[in-house]
Amino acid sequence: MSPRHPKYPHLLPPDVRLWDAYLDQSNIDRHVITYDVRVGTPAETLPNWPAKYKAMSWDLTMRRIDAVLFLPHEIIVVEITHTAGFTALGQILSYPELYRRTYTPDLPVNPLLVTSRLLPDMAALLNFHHVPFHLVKPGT
Amino acid sequence: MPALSDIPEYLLDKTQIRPLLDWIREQPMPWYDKKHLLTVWARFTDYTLTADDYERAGAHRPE
Repeated sequence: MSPRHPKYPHLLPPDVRLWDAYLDQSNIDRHVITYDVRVGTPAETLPNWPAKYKAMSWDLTMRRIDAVLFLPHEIIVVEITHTAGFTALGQILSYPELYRRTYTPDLPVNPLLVTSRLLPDMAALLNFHHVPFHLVKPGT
Repeated sequence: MPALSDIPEYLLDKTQIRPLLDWIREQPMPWYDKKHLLTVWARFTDYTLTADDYERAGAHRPE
């Protein structure tokens, strides 16, 4: 693995290329990024489950934020998707609040959508909800 | 972030708070991942964290 890029094992290959391209174009310090941040409520488990299995269930059923940036004055929750439609819109509207509820951070939590394609109406809806987005064309 | 199942099984119990804090402190991960992991562990074990717990685990933003 290249030391330049931290691992992001749960991104789909097109999203990996997109994210790498975004990082190459930005001046974000890779050391302030973490991936697969779990938020929200896990699925219920049975009281008699061993702790190990219960932990695995929590790992699998909590929602996972693609990336979180820890900047000096804010925390940015990032949704990374090569094609942004209503699923991405719902995630990027929901995840900042789930992050706040899960971790009670001491800084503002703001959203960011990184994508290479917006489906119809998405730009208008993202603007309406004040969600910033970056359109990135990854190299081939 | 590291997963809850990355924590040794014997530490998945709220009576193990002190060894858990020491274990997290020793892990080669940034402070924010220590905070994430500690917070999820506390929910998992139904333990109420204190500021001292975050401090001991190294799970706080550097000054």
